[in-house]
Amino acid sequence: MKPQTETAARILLWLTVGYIVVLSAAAAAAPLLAPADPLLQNLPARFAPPGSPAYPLGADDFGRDVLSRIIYGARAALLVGLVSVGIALAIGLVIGLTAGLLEGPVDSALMLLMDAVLSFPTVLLAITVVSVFGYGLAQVMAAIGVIFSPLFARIIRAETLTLKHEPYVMSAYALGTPLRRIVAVHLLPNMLPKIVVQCTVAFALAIVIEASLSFLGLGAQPPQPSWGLMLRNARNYLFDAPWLAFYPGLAIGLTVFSFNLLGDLLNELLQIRR
Amino acid sequence: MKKLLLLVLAALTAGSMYAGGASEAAVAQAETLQFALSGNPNTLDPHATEGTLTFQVLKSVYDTLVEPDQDGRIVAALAESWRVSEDNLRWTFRLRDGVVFHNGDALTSADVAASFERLLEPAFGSPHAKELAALHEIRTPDRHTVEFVLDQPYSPLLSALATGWSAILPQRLIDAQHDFAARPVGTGPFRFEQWVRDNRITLTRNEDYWMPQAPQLSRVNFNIITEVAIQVQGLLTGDLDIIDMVGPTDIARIEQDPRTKLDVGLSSLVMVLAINTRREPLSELRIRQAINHAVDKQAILDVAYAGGEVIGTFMDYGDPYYVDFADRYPHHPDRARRLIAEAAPQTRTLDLVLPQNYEPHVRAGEMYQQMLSRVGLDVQIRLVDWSTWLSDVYAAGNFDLTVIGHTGKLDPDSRLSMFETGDNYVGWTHAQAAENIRAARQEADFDQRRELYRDVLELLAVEVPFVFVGTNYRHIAMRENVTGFHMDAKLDTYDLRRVRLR
Amino acid sequence: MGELVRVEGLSKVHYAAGLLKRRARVVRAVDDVSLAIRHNTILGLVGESGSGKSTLARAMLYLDPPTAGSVIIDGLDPAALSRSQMRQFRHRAQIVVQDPYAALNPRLSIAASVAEGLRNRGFPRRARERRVAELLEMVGIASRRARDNPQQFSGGQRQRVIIARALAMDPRFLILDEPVSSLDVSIQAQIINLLLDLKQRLALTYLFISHDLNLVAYMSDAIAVMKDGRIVEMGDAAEVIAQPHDPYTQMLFDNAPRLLDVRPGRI
Repeated sequence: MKPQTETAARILLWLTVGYIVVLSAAAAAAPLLAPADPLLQNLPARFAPPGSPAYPLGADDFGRDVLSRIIYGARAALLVGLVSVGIALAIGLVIGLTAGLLEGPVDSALMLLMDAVLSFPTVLLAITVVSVFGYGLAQVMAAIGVIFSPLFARIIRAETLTLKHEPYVMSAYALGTPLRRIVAVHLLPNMLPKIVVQCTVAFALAIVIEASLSFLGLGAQPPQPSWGLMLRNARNYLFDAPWLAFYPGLAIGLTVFSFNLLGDLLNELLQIRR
Repeated sequence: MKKLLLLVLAALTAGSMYAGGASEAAVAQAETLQFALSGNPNTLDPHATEGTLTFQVLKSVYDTLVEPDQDGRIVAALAESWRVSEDNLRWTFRLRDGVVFHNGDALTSADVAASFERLLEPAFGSPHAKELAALHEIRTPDRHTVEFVLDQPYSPLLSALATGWSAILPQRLIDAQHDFAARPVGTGPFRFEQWVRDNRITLTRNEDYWMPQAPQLSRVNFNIITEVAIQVQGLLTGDLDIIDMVGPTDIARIEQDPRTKLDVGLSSLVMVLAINTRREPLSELRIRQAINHAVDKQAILDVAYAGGEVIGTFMDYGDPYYVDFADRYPHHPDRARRLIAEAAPQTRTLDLVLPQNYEPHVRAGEMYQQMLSRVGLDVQIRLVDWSTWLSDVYAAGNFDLTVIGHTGKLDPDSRLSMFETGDNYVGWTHAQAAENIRAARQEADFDQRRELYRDVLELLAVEVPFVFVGTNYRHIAMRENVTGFHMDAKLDTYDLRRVRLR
Repeated sequence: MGELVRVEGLSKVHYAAGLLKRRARVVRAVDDVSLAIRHNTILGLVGESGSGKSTLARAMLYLDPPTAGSVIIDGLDPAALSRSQMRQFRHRAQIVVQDPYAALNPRLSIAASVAEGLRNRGFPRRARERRVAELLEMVGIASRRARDNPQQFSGGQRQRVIIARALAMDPRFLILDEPVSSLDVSIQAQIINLLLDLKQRLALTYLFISHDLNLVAYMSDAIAVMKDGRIVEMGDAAEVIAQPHDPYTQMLFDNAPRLLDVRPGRI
């Protein structure tokens, strides 16, 4: 890489990290930062354009403050990312480690199950799950968690199979280290980079799926501020009030892009040379 | 009636003007109406379905003995006249002369009898059979006379016979087990030509139609288009002449465009926030009154339903039986708060169930939630799909509040009979109301019936098992050159007999 | 001094079951091996790569238990031991493996790696730290570097750390599986001298596995030659070198420079 491009890439990456930090802070401190109650309807202010004194990013079809809804929407997005990736990782760890450590028929059966889950189109499967278990953010998070678990299970299994034949793992076994500790000290930390990268990618995907399901009316339920739900409402006013679609769209795009870039950054940071 | 006459006159003048100029054949050639139908009908058999889409098409293929005119009154159609016996048990219809089915058969009383026998045949399983439960016998004294003999007086009969499912089919084809579901054959203004499923249904002019100067069009194409945006786009480009799906934000664009116009009329819907009176604290009248005072009905109509007329009871604004109770519980949040304070309910948390696929109702639900929270009621929104709504909310009563629109019927009995017992989804009934509903069903006189129903509607308006919000406007958009279009708000069907493309 | 290690009829068979093939393919990696090592002596084990030396080593320590045969080390038969007794066995026998670059967890400081066995033995933290410092000094690593990660050490230094890690268990028997084969020649000598020194100081017994005949001849009291999973020749080091009986051993010694230069491929 030329020094110039390297500098540019570095700046981009730090901008990304900056964005994610700001976003997380905004989500955490939403009640302090949001200028208004995101649910408060003010019918006289319907469709107030961006730049209006009380509505910096405009008001929606019920006269609700778009900026406040975007800020609170970050909560929903990050919550979905954290919880669904958390669920996926937890399931993936149990299945991946079991398959990788035991091998044999248990491994084959578990991986067949994981491949079966993976073979369905993700969004379609999420729609099916949510349709069966009911609409709502909690169901969406659970569905995404389950659907993403094979992504983690497969990586963790593959890493387990590789790492457990590493001489240092065999040495630990020879030293009488219990399995629990071998997993915690020797296996997990050494598969961490791959897991973390997978986490950021899955995080971004989860946000997209939540937005898609909410857009379809299956995810976040009104009047909860969610970017996907904001887009759903906005689609009726694309000509008359385009900002209603623009800001949540921008928020989704930037967030997804940032988490994907973060994945690349972490991948490089966490690599260890032998 | 005056309006109708004027229209006929206008049509006559227009016709004569054309007759003087270009050859009529050339004009007829050009007159194909492109109509946007909002979905694919499940069948084209009028006796077999309750689907509105079916009747939107079949209104142009079949006739009924009587039909509603543009003011909602019931007038002659295939029957040129009728009379009712003193005891209200015998209805005699005299059939119009010279009416011919599309297959060439002449209409006789045998066709009428065969049609209703088909509909009432238990094995056929028509969803409409129950509406003719009072019917004892159909007699055909001669080729042009049909007699309906009833077990007990039943005033809604005439409305039933004016509804699309009372279509008259040719006896010969009924006997021959003709596939009416796929290839309808009637006496209507247009002949069925072709049905390309999920694409289009085409009709051609019935040259032998009994109504003078009708139909005007040579062809009608029902284009099946399920997306609002595509319908609107088709209208703006001129590919479509009439569309019946118009989004709230398309209204201004269609009005501003000189090539298109909007037909705005009242729908026959009663938009409600239904209140489950079986549940605490909603069984308490003061809480229901508070909820009514908390709601800004006009705002709900404007924002969620693209405009409408505020009502105060369970009857749509345009109905002849409508009574104005709109001022009974005006928007008054302070009064709502006082009533709640007086009632001091155990819980202030309410479960508001919304039918997820009906966006206007969902939007209204968001507004109700906000309005009720301002008077101290904590409303939790729960969205469900349509089948769940029907089974869990409408049938099983598993809700505190829900939002829905009740469709209109030609006869008020269809609307109000649900309150005859408490076995309705809001769990409301009243002895006086039940008695009046039964009496009105047997009463023939319009004014007498109106009095009976007035009391029922007032009881509803006072006891408010609903917030009666209003009747919304419905919008049909068409090209500027379309004239003579009429939509029946109650039946949700289109009368294309006098439509012309100027 | 008597025997410390006795192996009788040890076999290790892999069943390579195919997904489609019904009948499993049988691979005899170690086939009916018997050997004995006297206390505080070195048995050199030579053979080409793939001859089953490392498999034999892992089977002897029950890291990858044998499919037949018995092992007794310092009076303990691991096949008859309970889980907790197995800890005792781990005290007595340790292994130092070939690749110092892969034998240390890259995410642990060398102190943590050396402390691992102490932790498993239940040493409290303070005692652990003290013992780690001693062990590092014993193998010639300055204890101030204890917190550094393996990446900061050379291959020879890493091999010293690995030896220290094994010594943390206070073993009586060490298997040295090609302990120097991936190191520079000058470094090799230092490690070999360290190992010989430790043997004397700590009264250790070694199974020294190598493909380097010169090295084996230099270090060992006895020599065993392995081919295709079997021991084809075993005896006093001087005797085996002077008068090999087995034709394979003869060929091995005749062609020593050419054959023995082939280094086993790294996995």
